[in-house]
Amino acid sequence: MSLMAGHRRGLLLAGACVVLVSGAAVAQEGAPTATPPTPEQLAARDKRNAEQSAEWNRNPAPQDPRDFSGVWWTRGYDRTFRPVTNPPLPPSESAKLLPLTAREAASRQHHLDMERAGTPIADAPTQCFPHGIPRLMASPYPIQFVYTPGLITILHEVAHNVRFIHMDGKPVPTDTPRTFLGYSVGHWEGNTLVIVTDHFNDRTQIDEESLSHGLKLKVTERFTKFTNKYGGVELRDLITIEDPDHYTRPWTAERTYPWRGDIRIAEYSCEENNRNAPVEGITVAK
Amino acid sequence: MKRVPLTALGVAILGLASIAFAAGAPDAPLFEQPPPGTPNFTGKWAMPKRITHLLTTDGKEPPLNAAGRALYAKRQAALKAGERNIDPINRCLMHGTPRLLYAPYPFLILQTSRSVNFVHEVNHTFRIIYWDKTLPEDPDPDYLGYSIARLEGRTLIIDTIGLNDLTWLDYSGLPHGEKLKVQERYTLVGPTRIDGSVSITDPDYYTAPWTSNFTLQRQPGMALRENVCTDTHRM
Repeated sequence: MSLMAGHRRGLLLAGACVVLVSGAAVAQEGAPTATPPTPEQLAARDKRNAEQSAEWNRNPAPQDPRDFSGVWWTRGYDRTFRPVTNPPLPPSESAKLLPLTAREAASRQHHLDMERAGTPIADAPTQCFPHGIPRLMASPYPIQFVYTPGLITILHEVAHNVRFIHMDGKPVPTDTPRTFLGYSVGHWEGNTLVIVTDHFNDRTQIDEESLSHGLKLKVTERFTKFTNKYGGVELRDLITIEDPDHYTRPWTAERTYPWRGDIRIAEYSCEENNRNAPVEGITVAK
Repeated sequence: MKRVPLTALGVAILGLASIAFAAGAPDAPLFEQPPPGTPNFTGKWAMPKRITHLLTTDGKEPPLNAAGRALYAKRQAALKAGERNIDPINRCLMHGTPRLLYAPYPFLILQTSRSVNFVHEVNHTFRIIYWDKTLPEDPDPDYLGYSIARLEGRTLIIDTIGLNDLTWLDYSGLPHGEKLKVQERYTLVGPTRIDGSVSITDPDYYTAPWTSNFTLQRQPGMALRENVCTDTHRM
């Protein structure tokens, strides 16, 4: 799988308000490197992206801008969520923009210290629990959107996670329990699918690296389909994270998922190979 | 030709547009739906009567061969002795096809033009089954196998091969090997009932193919609870 991001639209973050700006920039996944790529490298990247898009489009993506049905797969893997910026910043810089409360800053440092010491804190997926949201949306495995009346289901290859997006216009049932994946309600704003998820338990992380959340977590996702300059079709998910106990203000991260008409979701058994079960909250490889 | 007043048409179009774009509208845009006129199995289903031990359609024990009888007896003895971990699902492994159907939990059938999807509440296990014409010759075995689906009248037929031998056919421990072929048949006999059957062909453990029946009852709503085996079992 290529680690290159084919195409990325710049994003401007202003508090909780995300403004889309035109003007595309090709950026490497994660940090821009210190030395800019040579024209030959850029040409090779363009060629590869164009070839990939053609391959993935042979079974084409649905035409309707609101039709996300089928298989999508994010490129590469970024184990962090960071505020989106225009232009993109290296992770070390964008990390400074995280609006951490004092409590979350201490928690984040503890996560980093424990990992550095070789005793990482056990994250939910380590125990074959559902990943949590938005953690699940960073996972480098394909996903399939399924449309049925009143419901959009997202089937994730990774650890057979399933997300139910309730589209029936009904309010969240009063007896909704707190769960790993929470309760998601969706609606359309033009061609954007807006999903609001809450009723989370506090047993998952925001990202794999270091960020935590509590019971007040509310996640708002805005999914939009777009065509990149190589003719590839992608879904963009703008993910706004709110939890006043951990973040001083809402902040927005981003993921994109290229259309993958060439693949199907495979079976994935986390439980079969569950060797990293934690001992007293610390991951111990067996 | 009968004329439709323009204003009425305009109101109708505006009405449709406002429905389509209203936040959380019950009739939000819908895609990949089965063609009109096809039986639609989409819904939440469950077995009204729990099946723990598969019997043939005439109520008899499945036709185990000598190897099958030996393995089945071993499992039955272990279960009687309280060795819970002999059962793969007590180690949170996938139930496998067809045992997933007999888990005492509801499941969703999500039928689309692309695939028919079974999403089970138990340990959030799902099967994505494409409307393919043919099965691959020798797929790598896994828990749920490689399945293809087709419709015949009001019956949905799913053929599955490529199953590993790590699962049981039912809760009593009926065995199977990797040569197992499963055919599931689901007939929509009314808006709220499916009559179904599972046919087993497995020369490793049975002297002949055999079939077992079941009934599914439609459940209200489409919501499933979150069910996480490794959490429940505190592995």
